[in-house]
Amino acid sequence: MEEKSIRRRTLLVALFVVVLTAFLISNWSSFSSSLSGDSSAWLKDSIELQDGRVFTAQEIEFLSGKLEQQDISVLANKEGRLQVARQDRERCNAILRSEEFTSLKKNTSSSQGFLPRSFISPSEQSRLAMEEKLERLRSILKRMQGIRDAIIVYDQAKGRSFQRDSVHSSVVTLWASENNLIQKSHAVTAKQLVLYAFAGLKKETVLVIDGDSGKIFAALDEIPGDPSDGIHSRDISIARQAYIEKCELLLQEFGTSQIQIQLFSGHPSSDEQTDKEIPLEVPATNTFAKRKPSSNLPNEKIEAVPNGTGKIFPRTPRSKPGLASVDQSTPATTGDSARDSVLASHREFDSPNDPRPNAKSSALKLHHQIASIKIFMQEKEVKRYLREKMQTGAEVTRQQFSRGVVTVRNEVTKKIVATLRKQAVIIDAQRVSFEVVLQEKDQQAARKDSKSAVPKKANFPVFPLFLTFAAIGMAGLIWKKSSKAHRRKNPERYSADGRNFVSRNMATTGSVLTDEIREVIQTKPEHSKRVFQDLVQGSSNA
Amino acid sequence: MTVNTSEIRKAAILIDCLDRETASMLLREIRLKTAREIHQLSNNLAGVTREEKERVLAEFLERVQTRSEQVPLHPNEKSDADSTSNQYPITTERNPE
Repeated sequence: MEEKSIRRRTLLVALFVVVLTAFLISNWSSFSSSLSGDSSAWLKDSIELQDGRVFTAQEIEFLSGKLEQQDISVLANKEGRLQVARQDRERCNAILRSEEFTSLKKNTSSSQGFLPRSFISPSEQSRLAMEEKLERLRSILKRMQGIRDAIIVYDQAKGRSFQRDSVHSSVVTLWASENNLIQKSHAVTAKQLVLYAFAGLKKETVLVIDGDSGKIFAALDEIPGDPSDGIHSRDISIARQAYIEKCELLLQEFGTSQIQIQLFSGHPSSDEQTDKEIPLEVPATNTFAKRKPSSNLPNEKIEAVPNGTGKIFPRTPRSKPGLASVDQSTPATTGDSARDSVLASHREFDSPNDPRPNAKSSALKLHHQIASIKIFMQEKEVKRYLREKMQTGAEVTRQQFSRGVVTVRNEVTKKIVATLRKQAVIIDAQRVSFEVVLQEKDQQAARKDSKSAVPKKANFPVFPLFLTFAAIGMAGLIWKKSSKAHRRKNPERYSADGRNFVSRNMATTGSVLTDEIREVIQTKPEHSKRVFQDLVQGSSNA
Repeated sequence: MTVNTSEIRKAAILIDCLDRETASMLLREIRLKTAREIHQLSNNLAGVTREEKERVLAEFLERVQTRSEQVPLHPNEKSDADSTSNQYPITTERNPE
């Protein structure tokens, strides 16, 4: 029995010795001695290297050799933090940034990586994990444009002995690359990065410092005008300009137009607004180019709804100028084939004049920022386009014009949205609105008409003239009726281009046939109902 | 009454092209069961080509024109289907094209 108990005791002692040895081996670096003697004066004027970073024993050994060569006094405490005199800081930093030290650091971490973590003490494991994490964050910050180097120091400690939760704090030091300065945007990004990387950190306990100037970035959350997603305002203006140029090209075939792009600049209250005037074909007579969208709005609004006839709403008496507009709540559907080449054609929006290397991503970022795209077009241009594409006559009726507006609106919206989608910009067709503005000559004519409506004294024979006008009007009505009936029966009423144009719009919304059907149902409801009944029943006697 | 499937499809294509009010007006004129069927089909239409849509719309338009020329309705005349008409409401959102 005694022998057994002795064996047990021996085994327990051996086990204890093994565990103690393993613990001491893993933490041997904690017992490194000071590299040089200290004095109280020296301590007062000394600082911790790399913001109090914990160095490994190998690193300390390497640094001691290097620092002795340069005759620099260093004090190492038990935790592995190094203190140097303030005037020696720059020289120490140079050694720490050297290739030799960096490679040693990599070798140290890789050699430790071969050891199974189970053989390393928990404190050492957590230290290694923390070091890896800090290194990853550092590499992220170093990849940012304008940042040469970064160091993150993280600490957690109990402020008071009776305090239950420990206080987490972090210091991020940034060094700018050549010809650059640490911007507030850099500091904001660094702060956000650290805040999200370490749970328990608070905004108040994260400090960002410019390593070169020693400037402390305070109150980073209150930077006025800084967008929340980190997009620089210059990026927005460059990308917006690119969009406007692209829209100019797209709408060139429609004639003179004005494009207005509204952007969010981070806060919805501070929307940006840009007007772009595009004199495309007739700059000499382009009075429209000087027009402000808010000035002198015309008197009539033509609202076009999908699958429906354009409605004309008299807004004010005819004596005032008029506006023909398309309700922006009735978007045209657009083709989705653009999604196939999403990122391939992304470069189209990159501004060639932009000197920045990362300017190419600005267009991609902007899709969060587009509030609306407004296109204003002259009535004259729309009529010209309709004449060319649909072969309409010189005189366009209001209904024809209304349908034409729908068609042009569909075309314009489809083009813009499809092109933006090609650029990987997710944009809803509802954000594109299209308005037709009456030209100033028409407005003057409208004013004249309203004035001439005042009865004047007749100095010429009224009755024969009235008879002549009545006869002309009757003849015109008869001709119009017969031609309308003929056109309805004749499917070839448009030219080849016109048919293609109509066909393309058939694929979207607001087709001409749909408009006609709606009109017919409204004018002849009983016949339409009967025909619908017959259609459902499959009767052929309709 | 037997209803041909192709006719139902035609009606569904037509209804799909119209706005809610007009579609509702037409659907009220037929039997409730058929109206529901057409409405359901118009919401789930698939594989409608442009030509088919154009053909259906043109056919309907032509029929109405022909009928209005041949059979002028008396102003006081009421539809035959009034006795069997339903009050079919379109409550659900129609799928956008």
